[in-house]
Amino acid sequence: MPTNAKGLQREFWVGALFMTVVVLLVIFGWLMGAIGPLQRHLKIFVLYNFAGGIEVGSPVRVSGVKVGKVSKIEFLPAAVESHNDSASLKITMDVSMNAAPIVREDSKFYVNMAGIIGEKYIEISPGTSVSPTLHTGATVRGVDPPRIDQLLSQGYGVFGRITDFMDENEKTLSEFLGGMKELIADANKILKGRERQKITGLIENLNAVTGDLHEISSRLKNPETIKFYDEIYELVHRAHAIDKPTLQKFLQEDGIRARVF
Amino acid sequence: MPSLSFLTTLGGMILFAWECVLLTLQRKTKWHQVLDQIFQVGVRSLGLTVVAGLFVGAIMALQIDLQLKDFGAEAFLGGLSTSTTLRNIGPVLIAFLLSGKVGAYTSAELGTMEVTDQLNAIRLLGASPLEYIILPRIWAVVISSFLLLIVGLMITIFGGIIFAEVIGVNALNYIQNIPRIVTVWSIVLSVIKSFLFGAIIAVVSCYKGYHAKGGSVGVGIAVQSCAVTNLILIIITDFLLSMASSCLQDIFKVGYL
Amino acid sequence: MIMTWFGRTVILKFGEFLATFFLMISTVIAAIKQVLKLKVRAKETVSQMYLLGVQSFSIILVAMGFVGLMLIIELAFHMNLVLKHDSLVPAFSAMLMVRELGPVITCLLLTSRIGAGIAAEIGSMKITEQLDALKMLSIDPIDYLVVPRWVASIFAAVTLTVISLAIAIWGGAFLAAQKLGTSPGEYFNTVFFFVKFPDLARCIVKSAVFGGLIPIVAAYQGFNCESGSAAVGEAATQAVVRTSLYIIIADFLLTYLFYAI
Repeated sequence: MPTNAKGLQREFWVGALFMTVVVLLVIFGWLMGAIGPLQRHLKIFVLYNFAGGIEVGSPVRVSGVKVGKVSKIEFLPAAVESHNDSASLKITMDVSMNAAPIVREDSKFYVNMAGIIGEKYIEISPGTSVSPTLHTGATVRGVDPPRIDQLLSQGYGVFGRITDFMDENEKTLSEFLGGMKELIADANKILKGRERQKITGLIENLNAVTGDLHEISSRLKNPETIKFYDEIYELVHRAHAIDKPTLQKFLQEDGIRARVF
Repeated sequence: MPSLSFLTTLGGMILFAWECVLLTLQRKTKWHQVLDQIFQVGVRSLGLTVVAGLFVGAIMALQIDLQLKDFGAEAFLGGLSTSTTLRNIGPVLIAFLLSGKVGAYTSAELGTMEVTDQLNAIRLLGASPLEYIILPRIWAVVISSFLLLIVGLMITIFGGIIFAEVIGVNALNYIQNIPRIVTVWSIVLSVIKSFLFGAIIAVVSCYKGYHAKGGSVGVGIAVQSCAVTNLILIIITDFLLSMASSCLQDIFKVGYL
Repeated sequence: MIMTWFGRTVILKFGEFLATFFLMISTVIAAIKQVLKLKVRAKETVSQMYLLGVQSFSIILVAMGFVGLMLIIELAFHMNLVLKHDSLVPAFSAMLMVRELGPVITCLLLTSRIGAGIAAEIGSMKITEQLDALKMLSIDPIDYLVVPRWVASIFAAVTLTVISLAIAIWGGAFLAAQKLGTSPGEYFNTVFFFVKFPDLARCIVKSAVFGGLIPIVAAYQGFNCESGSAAVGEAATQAVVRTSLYIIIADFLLTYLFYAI
């Protein structure tokens, strides 16, 4: 087909531009994970009963590092039996391949709250090296977050019961409190009133007794006494063989007491 | 060689601008003509600037809001979108529109004068067209582009606020967040950018119009190459200024410039 | 007086917008007819693709490279200011690039590159009465002039946007390595973790819409050109201004439609 050189050149360049774009689109598609055999994300299904504010797009973190996000939330038609309990929510999340080695079967999937405005996210605790890693398509049971609403309603119940108890026993309680009050007033009177001097005398006597005791014990502690006791001890051991009961009786019960005092 | 011709144009424009600066320093500017031109250019382009400003502000608020949602930091919406718009995207996009409105208009007008021999007539009368026609226009375009850019940037803030209210962000929160992120240096930078973009538009469009050749086709070519040169120079200047600001910040360690 | 002026301006602009919209619908119908009747003006279209696409290639490449670099610098500034670390800069800049600035800035550049040219060309055809001559030969100017430019402009916008995205992202990788110390592997990991294939698809739709706007608005200005060489310049100017404004408004509407609803 006779085409002039310029026309051919034009068509060549237009074709080249088009091909460049096709190649770039393939590269982009591959990098963005839309096409291509290489799976760039770990897709894990986590079962919950209560999602605690998790939305599509909520981040997924491992040890606090963002590694993915929640891509889908489904209600299961019938609660699925898994790991010995039932769950009614299935959350699909994409986890970066970087984090794949530490997301293992014994990892725990918590729902947490953090960030500047208190965003909700899924926290995965790192697994131990003994359990196998999770692969794409694995289904695990997540740890349901504590339901603040339930806790609150339980708290309301407890407070309600306390209130009821108070209402019922109002009279007894006020009598009890009245008695306590009188008791404290009496004690106060004793401490403050005429008996006060007696109490002071009592305390002074006690003080004198303890002072005497202190003197006695310090006298017992001087080196001569210790030496004397050591000698007695030796004597008793030597005399042991002669007549044990009589000697013991003399030394322990009569003799030494008589010397000291 | 396209790159060679680009360098030739750039050199020609720098010499042209230098000539105009010299003429100004010799006090040859007819300031009443300048005022007249500023009024014409400014009034003609004000509506466009306002509409463009509103939409640019709204686009940036929407876009930043979407991205912040991904990172869970919507609290920074007001400050971040205003700051990004003021420092970069606002000046660039509004300058793009003004380069069409003001720049292409000026170059078409001057080009028509050139190809219809009006400038030659002035030369024949022994007067310099540079002094009587170009110089007032250059100053008029510099000043009015600068003023229009400043007005447009203010309007972008309003656009952002209005859009924030539309998507359900409290306007008061949005406004309160602005001074936390927009620093004084950001405003200075955007003013510097506005002035330089105005100067670029003025020099390029006058140069291209003044050098138009060959009938109505020549005017069309002048308009087109004026618009393209304006846009390329605006983008490159924007990059260089951002780079300079960032380098200054690194060198002087003065917090966040 | 100001109100009447304002009202008249608004009505005039709106009438112009409606007329442009009508021209767009006729162009689309003409294009569909061409395909259905198998009378595609292939040679003309390819030649326009060369003129609009290949010849704008180098300019857009240079400009978008700079835009990519500028985004990295600016976002590094903002991230350091707000979050005190810059690990999210690549993701943020790539998202802004793909969702917003890639299509918009490429098509604004393309507008100034080809819009003025198309308006001036059709305008000078109008004032030299070539359009009337075409009508005498019972050739529809929309079918003959606008449709090839429309197709070629969409082609150019899409191809150049994809290429400019590639340039901006790879340029960003280079600058991020230099300035932020992000290794290229880390950079691409973050970027393509957040930028998904649907984003790219929306970006392509956006650029196709913008690219389709350019020749329609330019052709409208050309068809309504008055006689005289000043009028051609005026038509070219108006084409650039109107198209740029329409692109910015369309971008707002499309972004809102794609992401916020």
